[in-house]
Amino acid sequence: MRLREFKLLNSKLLNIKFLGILFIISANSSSTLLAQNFNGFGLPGLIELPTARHLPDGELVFHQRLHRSLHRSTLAFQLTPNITTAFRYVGHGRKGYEYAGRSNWDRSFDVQVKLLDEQRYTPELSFGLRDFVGTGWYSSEYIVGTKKIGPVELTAGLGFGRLAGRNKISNPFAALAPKLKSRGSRETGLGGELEFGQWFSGPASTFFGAKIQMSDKVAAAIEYNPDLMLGEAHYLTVKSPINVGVTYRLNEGLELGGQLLQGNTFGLTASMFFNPKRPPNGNGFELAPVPMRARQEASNVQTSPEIIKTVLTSEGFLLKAIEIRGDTIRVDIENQEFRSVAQALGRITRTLQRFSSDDIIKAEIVFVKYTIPVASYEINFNDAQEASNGRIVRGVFKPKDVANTLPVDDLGGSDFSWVLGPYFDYRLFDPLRPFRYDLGLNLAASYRFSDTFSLGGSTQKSLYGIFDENIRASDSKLTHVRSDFPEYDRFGDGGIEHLTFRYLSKITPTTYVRAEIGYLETMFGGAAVEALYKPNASDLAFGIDLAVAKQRQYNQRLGFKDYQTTTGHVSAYWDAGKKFDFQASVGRYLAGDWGGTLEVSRRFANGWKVGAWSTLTNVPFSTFGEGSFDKGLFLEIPLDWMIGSKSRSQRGLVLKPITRDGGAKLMGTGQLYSLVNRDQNSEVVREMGRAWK
Amino acid sequence: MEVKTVCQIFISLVILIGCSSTDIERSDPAVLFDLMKSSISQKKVSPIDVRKLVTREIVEEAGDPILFVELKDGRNATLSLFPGENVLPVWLGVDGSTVTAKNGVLISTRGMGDDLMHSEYEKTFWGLSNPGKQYIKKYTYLVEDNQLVSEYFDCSFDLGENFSVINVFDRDFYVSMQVETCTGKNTDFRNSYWTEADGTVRRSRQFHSNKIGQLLLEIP
Repeated sequence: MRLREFKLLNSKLLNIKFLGILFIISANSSSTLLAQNFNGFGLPGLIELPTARHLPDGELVFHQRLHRSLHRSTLAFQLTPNITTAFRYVGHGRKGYEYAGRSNWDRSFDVQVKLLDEQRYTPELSFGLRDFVGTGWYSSEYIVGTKKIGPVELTAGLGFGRLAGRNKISNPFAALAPKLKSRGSRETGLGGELEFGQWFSGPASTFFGAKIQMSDKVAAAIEYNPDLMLGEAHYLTVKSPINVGVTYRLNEGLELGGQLLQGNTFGLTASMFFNPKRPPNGNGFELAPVPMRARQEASNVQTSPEIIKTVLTSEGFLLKAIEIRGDTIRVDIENQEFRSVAQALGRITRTLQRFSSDDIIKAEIVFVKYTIPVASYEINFNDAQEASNGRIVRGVFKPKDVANTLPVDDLGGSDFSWVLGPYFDYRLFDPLRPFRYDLGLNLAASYRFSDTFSLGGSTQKSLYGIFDENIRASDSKLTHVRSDFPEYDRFGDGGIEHLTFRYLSKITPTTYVRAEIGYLETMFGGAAVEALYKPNASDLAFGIDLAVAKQRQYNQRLGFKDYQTTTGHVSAYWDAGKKFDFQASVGRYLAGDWGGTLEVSRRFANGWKVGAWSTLTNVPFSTFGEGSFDKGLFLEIPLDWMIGSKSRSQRGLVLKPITRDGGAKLMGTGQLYSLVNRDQNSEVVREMGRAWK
Repeated sequence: MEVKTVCQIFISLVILIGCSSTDIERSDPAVLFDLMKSSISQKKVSPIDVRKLVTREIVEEAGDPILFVELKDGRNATLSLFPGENVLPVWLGVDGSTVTAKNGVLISTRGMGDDLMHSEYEKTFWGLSNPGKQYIKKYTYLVEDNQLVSEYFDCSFDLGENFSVINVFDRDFYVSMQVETCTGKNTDFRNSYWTEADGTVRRSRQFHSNKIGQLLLEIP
């Protein structure tokens, strides 16, 4: 299981808040999507058919299509300006035995790529793959062009697969590649595999349609859909290939629609859309920072640690130690409220510059997490003063590496800490209940014996939820390292989530070490060690982890089951600049399988992160079971983006199509990188504009 | 589940939300609570007109310099000069926002949300002394993905001055009014400055940003 899941499961606090705030945001966010409509698959389109249009870069769409034989939920994301992606969960059928009377619940992925922008005389041109990973219920490909003429937008395209139903023609690409002439039957197997050989193969059909923008809010569309809907034939009849629909833009983040489908079925759609580049509260309403002092004036200002501490505390920083050495003032600080480390640096720099004497010309700011220095920066006050006044000064915050913190001042705090709060947790994609929830109380506590040793644990008690309704038994052929999660859900309430004795230290200026022993996570206990090499100035990091883990009893009390394993990975992390992050790891997974995991995520310079991972191991797809291999999507949204005021918190969503046993990691693996990376120089560079906000 | 039990659970939740051993770090539930509170209390309140509250006597008695600022929606406030030797004059409002302005010419703002991060105020002074001559003035903003973006404007002050008497907080000032016309790639604006003989811009209407519009600044 991924670190991200660990973080989410471990904190689990108030994801419901996240959904609520998202709804508020969607109702308030400004949008550049005017005249953009979504088809029934949650992508830019007419009614069921695609158009060549794309979303604004970074746009995120939650889309729902409902009619009497269909629940179709889509999460679409504009990955780059030219590539649109979508993940979908669909319930088909009527009077079936699965949730809501559906006969089948299915997951699918789409991608659409823009080839050409619309010009004066030429249309926008795109191609797309629909349901290209998975069982292929909607498996189809298309090339589509869209041209706007006045208020009317015309679309025409060529479809393959399911979109090649009516009035078939021979494949026009067969002249170039004869093997495309026919389309073999799809080997759906256990799903989850790419069927490259089928793409754009077999006969084709044309499709077309038009949309008219009747007002700023209302649009109407008509289309000719060649899909014969053969897969749905036993519960749905197609009276007509013509679909008609109307959409109403309720506000700049919400669109509702109604359709007449196949000439006999009424459908409804709702789309909520957001964009990381459209924060609902602008750039945030933090109080103004302390202005810098004019140092060229003769002054009698003396360095005042007390004033510095008071001002920094009021800004949301915990000053742990302060030291003056020659012309440099060093502060060790825990940043508790500013997600943007660039903004935190700017504010601390201003405070130090203002309240230190003229003979101090440099600052060294060390960010501390728990008791280890996770990032250090050197700042020349003259450079900072120039930069804060709008001058372009390169390298104002020079990244450094330090091994040790200063001796900690008496902070008046206790070595014992605890927190009690509500949690909300969820389980997705069980065909018998696609969304299960659980609400309760979580209690976490820790005691610090020294700078490096601590004891910490947590427990939680469900107050309201339906996790215990899941009685599905795992059919996995592998050791049930994860697929028995329903058993843990049913019997683990009130148990020990985790309880470990932990060693955490920085052993060189660039090397971090963690060792833990005890109940490591909900399903495994044992001993784990991890090391991370991460210079502050580098975009690269390398990690290694090793654990001897024994499976815990379902009741999450003190007992263990018989299964024990050794698991570990070598990992590389690359912050590849403004847009993408990569993480790769190879090693042995919990079920004893060997393989590698690749994670790619789109990063935005305001804390948003949207990504995907997949793990391939030596477990054959047939042994892995449904889904063929481990994979998933995740989304992280910073709370400060949502509420417009400073906060280090973030909310996340993990969409894992299916939880199986292959490619499963111990929860908490790789947590050193997460601990360190938030305050590193790459984050400063990414949001440098915020330094003087 | 009985109603009584549900009530007990709800009350327990409300009481327990955000409990922790430390009050240093604001917990997530506390953030949520603040958000809900602010959402609920977002009533349409008529802005208080500071000009009706602050008289010339109050200004004189205060002794310290103040700056009057009004947004285009009518909200206004008086700001005090941030004490001490500042690099540039920074005016602090009671809401925690600041306006940096030199001799009445706007330089930057903070704490207003969509702030003006910096503007080339020196160009404005040069333009005031050189009416009719063209110059390029840069305004810098923080855009949504936390990058600084500069917008450049071709500006010039109109030839000719209009001498007049203006009243600022019950006191007359003899000023000349000059208009600065600026043309940008996407935005055009006109700033007006009422300047005293010593160069102090006693009153001005200056462009801040597309989102906030123009600010009225007065030095009482």
